[in-house]
Amino acid sequence: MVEGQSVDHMVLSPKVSFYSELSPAQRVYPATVIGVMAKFRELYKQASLSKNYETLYASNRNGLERPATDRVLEAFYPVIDKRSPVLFKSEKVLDIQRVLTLQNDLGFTLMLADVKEGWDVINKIKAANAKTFLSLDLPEEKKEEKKDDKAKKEEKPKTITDLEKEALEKRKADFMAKYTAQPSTFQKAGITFGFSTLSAKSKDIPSNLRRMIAAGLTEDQALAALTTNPAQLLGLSDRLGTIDNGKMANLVISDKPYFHEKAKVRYVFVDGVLYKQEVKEEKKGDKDGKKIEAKGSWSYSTETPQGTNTGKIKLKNDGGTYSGTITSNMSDAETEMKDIALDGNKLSFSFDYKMGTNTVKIDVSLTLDGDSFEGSMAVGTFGSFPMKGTKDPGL
Amino acid sequence: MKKILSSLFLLALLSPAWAQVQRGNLLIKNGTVITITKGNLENTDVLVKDGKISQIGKGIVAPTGYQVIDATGMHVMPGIIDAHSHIGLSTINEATQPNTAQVWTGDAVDPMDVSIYRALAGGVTISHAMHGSANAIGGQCETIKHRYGTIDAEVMKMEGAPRTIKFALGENPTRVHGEGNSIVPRTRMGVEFVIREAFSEAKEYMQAWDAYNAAKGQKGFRGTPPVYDGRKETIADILKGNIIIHCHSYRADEIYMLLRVCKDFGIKKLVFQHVNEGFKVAPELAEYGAMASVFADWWAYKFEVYYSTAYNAAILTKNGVVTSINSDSEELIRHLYHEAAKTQKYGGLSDEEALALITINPAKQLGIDSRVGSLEVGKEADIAIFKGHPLSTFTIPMITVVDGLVRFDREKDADDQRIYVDPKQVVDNATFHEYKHNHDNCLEGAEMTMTKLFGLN
Repeated sequence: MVEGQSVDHMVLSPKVSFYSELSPAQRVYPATVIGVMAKFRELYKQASLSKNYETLYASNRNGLERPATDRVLEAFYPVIDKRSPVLFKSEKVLDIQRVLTLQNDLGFTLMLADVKEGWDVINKIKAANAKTFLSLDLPEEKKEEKKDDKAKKEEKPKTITDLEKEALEKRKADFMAKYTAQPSTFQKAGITFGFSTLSAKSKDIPSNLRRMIAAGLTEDQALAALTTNPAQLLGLSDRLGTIDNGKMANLVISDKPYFHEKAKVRYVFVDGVLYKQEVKEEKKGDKDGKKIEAKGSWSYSTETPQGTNTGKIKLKNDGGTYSGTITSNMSDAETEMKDIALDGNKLSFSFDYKMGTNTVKIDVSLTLDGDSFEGSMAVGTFGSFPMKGTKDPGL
Repeated sequence: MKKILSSLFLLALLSPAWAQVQRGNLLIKNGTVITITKGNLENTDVLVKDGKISQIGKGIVAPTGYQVIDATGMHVMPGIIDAHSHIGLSTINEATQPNTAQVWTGDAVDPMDVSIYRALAGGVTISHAMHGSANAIGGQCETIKHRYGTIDAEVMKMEGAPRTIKFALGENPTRVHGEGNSIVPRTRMGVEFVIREAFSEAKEYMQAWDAYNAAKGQKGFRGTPPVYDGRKETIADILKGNIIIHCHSYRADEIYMLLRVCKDFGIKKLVFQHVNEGFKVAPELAEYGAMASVFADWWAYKFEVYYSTAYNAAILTKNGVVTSINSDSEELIRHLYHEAAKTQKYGGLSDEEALALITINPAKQLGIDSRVGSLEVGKEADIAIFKGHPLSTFTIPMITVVDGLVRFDREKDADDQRIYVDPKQVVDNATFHEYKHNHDNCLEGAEMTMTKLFGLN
């Protein structure tokens, strides 16, 4: 969850699954898929044995060596007990089957994540009773080349090469259709699936959903795969998936039906907290060429690991050249701001901050929106922290 | 111990319930049947029922529903078997350690590799999908049946075929680990040490488990089990005779070295691969019962492969060594019948002896000779049909059958045999690539690792 006071606060439901993937390590064992699978089998076997031994030891310690603690093996215990499924990233058809082989050999409960080529192995997935999350990533659609009208007119008889190329292009198109139709194929096979954004670019998700719908998935089915299905697959239907009394207020509000080509998400509520979405519409000020004015007194706050830092920014505009000072509740001093630049509605500046005997350079970049701003503050090598503020009245 | 044994790999060997192998019914009429083990039969029919040869004779009438192939004027022989190949695999070398006995190419079988179809087009029905030679003890290998057309790796695996493992001597393992990473083995002595150490450790491991399991049954026993180790588990299975060693080797001295090591540890099942200097130790190999899988006439691609002769296969054969000719290449695999024919020019082997090099002998080396490798009633119907004698320069492979199903038919050979197609792949005019046939392929995939790891080229 986005809104949380700490990492722990962000967790909705802990230890839902045991994440695995077949991707090998670099430079060290296991550096290949055969290494990864051998390692997985070995760890699983070792964990089963050590778990059994711990049970034996717990029942009667007499004459037994104290079992060693091993956090890697212990992580497998809930999997062995089938209290936790293995969530296996399995994109390609061979990987899906390799994962199913491991599952078949070892017997754990399985969730498949980011499935991209599952249409031919639906029966195997069903047989394994694996919960499935289909990828929201799709192979990119080729943009239609604009054909030269002239070339069209002088149509030559097709050569063998042309025919072969056509046949190859047709096969590509056939396969493209299989990728886009994957959700509808799973739907028709009666599999309840959710979606996975693991390898999908967020900007492609709406258009990919529309491609999937064009390939046979209904809008209702797509919506279910984004809401009720994953809630059910993750065992969180009591809290998520539908708008209902007592459920978490996680809401998406768009200005047109969600799957409409021109739909834009305007508001998102996470656990009742509103997140306004920036819609790409030119700001009035920009459009009219009206200069944005940053001068004045601003109150800001930043969230840092040391706590919330608040203070004032005072900016003067001297014929287009800005100068100013910044204060902080962590020190009383007014610090001179440097390198102040205003580009459109982007304001950036830096200042030096004394931490004990060290001086740290802090870079701030903000986006002004009328009487408020949002942005971030980069503190040397310590990281970057969100910063927001509002203009003080008057002046 | 039993529990542990029965757990992982044995389970994997028994194909999962969902691996559905298709088997066909078929009658091949009126061909010259080359049985390999029982001579040639003119104008003879072969009847296949449910993937197995059910009758060989004249004037057999096909039961209804059987596909009939007219082989008049053609030669019908057992499907060719390649005892050393790397086709149909997504990855070959787990090159990170000198001993990776725990890994298994069966986990990386790629049934959609179009090389499998090309092999079928050369009459090859079974290949030994081997781990590479980057390490002294490489991974376990998988024997695959070329049931091309499936996307299921489990279907491609030859169910019930014995387990095999790749070992490697000489320049490859010493280059990757010694030269590249300054660890043992840097020399041929080092390779011997790695193998001996692995056997000794596995022996102790095995004894520890046996002792634990024996004591466990006794009343009031309290004790700690040994730590499970996939690598030692595998090596222990070699010591028990459950896994056939297939060892990449060239020089006579190191071949003899491994014979002595195996003798010391009581290991009987041993096949040498490449084995270019095998002709120097042929009587010793024969006496031990070790087998040899060689190239017909391919050498000088690295220093240890200069002392070679095209008479190697013939000399080994005449000394009583069970010998095969392999490809180690997705190109050479298409014409292993030519490779076998070379032993008639270099060594004057008979037709029967030459064809045994690519049929029953590799079957023996893979431990599957009771099922395939010859045309006999009861054997699996893996069959290659040639126009012209298969050892003739002018022969043409026409039809290849696996488990009684036609998997290649020259008359119906479509241009695009790919099973999955990448929709993003660019379709361009074909270009011809020169095929550089100047090295063995055993280090495929390891070069990258070597460059990355050690800055070697």
